[in-house]
Amino acid sequence: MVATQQGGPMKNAKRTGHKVPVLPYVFLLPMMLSFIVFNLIPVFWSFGLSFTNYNLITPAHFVGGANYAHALFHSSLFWLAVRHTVWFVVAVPLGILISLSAAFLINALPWGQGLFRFIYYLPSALSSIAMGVLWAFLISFGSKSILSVVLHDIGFAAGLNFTGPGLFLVFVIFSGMLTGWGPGMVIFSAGLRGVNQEFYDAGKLDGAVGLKATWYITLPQIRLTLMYVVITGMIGSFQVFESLFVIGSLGTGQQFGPLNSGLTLVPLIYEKAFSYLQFGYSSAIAFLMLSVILVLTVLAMRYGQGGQALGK
Amino acid sequence: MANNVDSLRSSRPQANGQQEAAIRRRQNQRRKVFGRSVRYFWLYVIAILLACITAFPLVWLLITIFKPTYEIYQYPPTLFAKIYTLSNLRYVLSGTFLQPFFNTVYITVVTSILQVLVNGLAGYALAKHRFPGRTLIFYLFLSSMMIPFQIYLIPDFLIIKHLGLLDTRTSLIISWIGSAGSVFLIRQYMLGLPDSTLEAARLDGASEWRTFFQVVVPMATPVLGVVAIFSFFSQWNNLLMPLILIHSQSRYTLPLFLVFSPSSNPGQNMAAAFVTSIPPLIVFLLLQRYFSQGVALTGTGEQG
Repeated sequence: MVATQQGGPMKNAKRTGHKVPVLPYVFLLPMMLSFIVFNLIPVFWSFGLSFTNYNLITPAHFVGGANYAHALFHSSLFWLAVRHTVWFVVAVPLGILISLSAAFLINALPWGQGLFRFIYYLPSALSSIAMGVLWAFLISFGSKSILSVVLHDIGFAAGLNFTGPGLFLVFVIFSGMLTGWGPGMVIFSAGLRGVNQEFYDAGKLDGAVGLKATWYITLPQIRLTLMYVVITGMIGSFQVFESLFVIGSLGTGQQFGPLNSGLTLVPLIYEKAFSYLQFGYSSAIAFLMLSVILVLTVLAMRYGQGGQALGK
Repeated sequence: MANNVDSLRSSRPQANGQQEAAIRRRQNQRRKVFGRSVRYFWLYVIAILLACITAFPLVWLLITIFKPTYEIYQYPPTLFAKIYTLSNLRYVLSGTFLQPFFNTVYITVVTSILQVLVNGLAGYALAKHRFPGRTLIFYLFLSSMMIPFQIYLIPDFLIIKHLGLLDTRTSLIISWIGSAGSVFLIRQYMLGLPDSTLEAARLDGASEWRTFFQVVVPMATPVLGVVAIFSFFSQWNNLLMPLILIHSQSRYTLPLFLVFSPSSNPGQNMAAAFVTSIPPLIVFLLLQRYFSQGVALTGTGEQG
């Protein structure tokens, strides 16, 4: 087996003599073109831009670290966006708790697993934009919105205004959670099925049943999956954009909610670049965001392999 | 062979353990039949409650489509209407909606096909060929996966502008084809394909291209399916790229259309949102098996 594995490609190389094989490069060419033009060059270009004051109209001038300094030390808007982003990131474990609980729940059901899994997954399988349009409809008309009335009917305070600056961000976080916990549930559900039954049998002898078994047996077993999902979820929540944009535009009439109440980092990057044409400043913010995401990504990759092995 | 013997050897003590466990379980079962059915009852109560919360907005969407406008605007709002109408469905059959719909179908389908082809070939080359620079290219792709897509936003816009492709559907396609993540997934999967089969095809005189299309592609269908689904979903819901690349209303995709040209009638908007959700739903239902596999492979439901 091992011999043929190495023999295949070697033989191929032999056939073309001492020359380097051409065909693999031909196979790679379209991807490399796309990669170089839209990924590789842009990274360096963007990094370069972040040290200039380029605005699409006048030629770029080198401004050193001024863009970074402005964001970090002089811009209250940047820190507002950071705070809002942190809200989304902090909410991730809560969403994952829902996913995990639902996975436990579903795996414990004797029948109807497929049906419930389908219903829980449904919002994630639909168009995320369409879900945003729907949420915007449900909260429009402020304190007289459909959602306010329904929530009042089931016992919440009357007249909750989700289009106001107070609740807009919280609403987008919760609506995102409600529509987005399906994939996590599927991963955990598969991970839980992979936990060896013998551990539970052994645990029972030591008195580990119910929640105790969950805490001492199940969670350690799916630890890697859990870490992986938490970290990738956090990376994703750093990049939240479309729900804020869609629900903000259609539900509140302002792109990212009233009074910047839904302004996070990516909306700030978008707005600075394409509304104010501050390409340099916008790139600087993007790289500040990248530095945090890189740390999270390295963590995700460390847990990634374990997570994948268990997730399958 | 050696593996088989090993597994036989190790399975013997396991069998005993399993028998004992089964006996214990049966004893427990008798004791807990009553307790268990009560527990199941509460589990189903929670499951149904959760299903209601998840389904509530969707149910409201579906019913709103069939409400006349004045019923939608009435206060306090009610879930069910006194009169139902089909007039809102006429909107999704009008040119206003169908143009962005077919724009999106065109862009999404072409992107998905090209993504599978381009990233499939690249993944195949990286998995099954040896050539100078292979490791370098692989690590280049791998490290680019760490970089959030927003970094590319401004340069991509400038490049598309320099190429003279601003405000074209082509710009949305070409900026979305290459995906390092897809190449990575495909490569990992193809590493597991047997070399002997590929070698046999080559010995039979099949060209490399024929080997790829007639031997590799059929064997790699699961991972290619995952890539196709993810690229379909990400392009269908792509908001940011059209936002910066497209200006003319005639080239709007559905996300742009839904946000920038909403009808003044919410019933029509809900109908549009519903129809927008149908193609992803069909893809999801048809390829559900690949989908959950893909979720397990990548850890996310979006953005392959």
